[in-house]
Amino acid sequence: MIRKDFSLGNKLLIAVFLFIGSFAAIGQKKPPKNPLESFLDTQFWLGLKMGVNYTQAFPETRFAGFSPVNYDENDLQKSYDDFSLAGAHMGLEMNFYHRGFSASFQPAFKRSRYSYSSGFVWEGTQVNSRFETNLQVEQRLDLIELPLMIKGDIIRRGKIRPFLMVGGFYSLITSAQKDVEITQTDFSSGTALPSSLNPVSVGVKDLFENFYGVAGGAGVNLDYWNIRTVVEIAYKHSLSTATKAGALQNELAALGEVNDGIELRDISVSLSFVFPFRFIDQQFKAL
Amino acid sequence: MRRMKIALLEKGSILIFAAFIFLGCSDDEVSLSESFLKIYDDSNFDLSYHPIDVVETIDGFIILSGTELTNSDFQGIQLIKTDEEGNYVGQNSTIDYVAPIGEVYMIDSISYFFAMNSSTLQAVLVGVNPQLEVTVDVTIGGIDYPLASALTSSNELLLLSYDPINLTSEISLIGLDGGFLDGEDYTIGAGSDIEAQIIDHYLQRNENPYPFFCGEISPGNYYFNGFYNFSFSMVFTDLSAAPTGVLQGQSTDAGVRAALPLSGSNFAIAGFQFDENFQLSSTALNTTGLASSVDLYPGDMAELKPYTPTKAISYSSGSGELTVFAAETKGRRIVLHFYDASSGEVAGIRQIGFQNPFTFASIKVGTDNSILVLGTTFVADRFERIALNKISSSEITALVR
Repeated sequence: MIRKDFSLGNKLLIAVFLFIGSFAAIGQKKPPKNPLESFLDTQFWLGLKMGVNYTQAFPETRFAGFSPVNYDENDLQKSYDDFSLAGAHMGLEMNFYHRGFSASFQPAFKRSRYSYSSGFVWEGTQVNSRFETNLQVEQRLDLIELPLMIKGDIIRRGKIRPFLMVGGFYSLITSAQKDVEITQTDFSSGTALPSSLNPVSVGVKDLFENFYGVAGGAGVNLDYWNIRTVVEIAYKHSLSTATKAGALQNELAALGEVNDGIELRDISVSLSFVFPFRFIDQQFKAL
Repeated sequence: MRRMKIALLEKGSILIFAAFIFLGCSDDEVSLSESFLKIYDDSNFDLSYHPIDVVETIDGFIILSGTELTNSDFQGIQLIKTDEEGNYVGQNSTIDYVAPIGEVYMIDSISYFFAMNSSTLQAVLVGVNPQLEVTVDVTIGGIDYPLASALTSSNELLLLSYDPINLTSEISLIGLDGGFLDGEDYTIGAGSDIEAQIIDHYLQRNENPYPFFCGEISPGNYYFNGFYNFSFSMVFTDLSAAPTGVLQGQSTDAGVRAALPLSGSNFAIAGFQFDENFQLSSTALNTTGLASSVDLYPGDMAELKPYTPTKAISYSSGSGELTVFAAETKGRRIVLHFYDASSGEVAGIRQIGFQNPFTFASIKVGTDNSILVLGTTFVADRFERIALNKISSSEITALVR
């Protein structure tokens, strides 16, 4: 088991988010007052949000599926494929805007995916006494993600309004599925004899737990037609592990498959269509 | 008014965010030392492990296992030490004895178990410290072929053995210094071929191991399960010349596989009737007369494997006293049956294993009221490796009704 020191990194990350938030705040300029702008100084927005995400599973703590008796546990380390599998998310975007800042609550149903591989080798005294197993694992997580972001507009006028955002999120695990492809190579006949076993697909929700973290990103509000279109790119960095420490499912035990202590990090690109809650008449009176 | 609403919304947002952080910090985690499943892999293609028992030490666990030897047909001794989370720490496979038997007993930081001298066939008491260094190594003169052992209430060791000269099953009380304290031997039935079966028990343990065991009912009153008078029987004795009672098996086709004394003459019993198995969470046995195990047979537990290794322990959960039987299923899983000790009803079932075969070796109660289940699993469907499952008391509480 290898523990990595992450507390300093997380502190730095939080500091960066705060810095971005400060920058967004400093970047505000008082716009000249006109009735429309005054009206838009405070507004509620509600709409739909959707997008794609790519996840990195960061092994904050390493766990081995086997406890080796005669070889190094590091030989069992998994190799992760970072940001390699696309996931998707869809949900609501609820913004409360006031004088250049928005509090944005963005509950969404989200599917995250990541993959990793590991391998094992057994050798005997005879030349042909050799057997290899490789596991290729795809992990799917279905989440209800509850981000709360603070957005700061860099430009408060015009139809194109870029913004920066920082915030935090809490993710509820609703289901988890692990697909394991097993390939074996038997050398006992004198030549390598590869074979594939039936893939194992099991629900592993009990191996995961809810997690939370910080988020940041940038985007642009596009006020064309009668709706606001929001394009944003966000980075989410969990501060707690999504996996339960040491939990090992019997179905996967003898395969040597066990979760590391995983912190999830993902990059998402989203598109939102939001509508104002309040409407105005031609005299800029709120209805 | 509008400012008030805005202020309320801002405060609400802060509260929601604070709630996230609070929720995120309030997870209850079961620590790795409370619950784990560990498989001890060896990259040696040619080796198989045959675990016998596990004992909890001051800083982890010691697993006693048999392993193949190149210079003997008997099993060699392998001791594996783990930390509190079950992670492998070290091993000792240099103890030059064979045929180790359970149980392993922890007394004053020394783990005791019996084994056999491969040349003289005499029983040997071995004790190791937490670093797996041998600190006790005593040959017990006159006692051959150790078969099973138990710890008495006065910290003496009860040893069941076979005497190949007199053709007897022998039950002995042994001190922790290896000294013989008391004992008696009982005929296995002269002229029978039982000796060959006993030898096979040592040499072909995985085929159909006989359920040898022994134990104490009360100080001075003991029982053993072994060959007696042509049958594999459960014998009750006060170490006098004749048994006080016998629960007769039917040759080696029917008998008792595990027994746990409860109170008086009440026992929890696991038995077998040819290929069929049964478990009785509490039954009164005639410890002062003759009875037959066949009369105890209530019907087959169809899920249990024929000739499954079986053990029984008492366990105190939050909801009361339980009797736990551990055995193997036909599907090659380990299954724990939890029985309510007062009502005798099944309170819960837990299985260990799913995709890969598991075999059962031993079950113990941990010092933190966890349950330790020792067995093997077949890694890559072919390499038999030791598996140790620690089930936390909270998991058991959630499991039982």
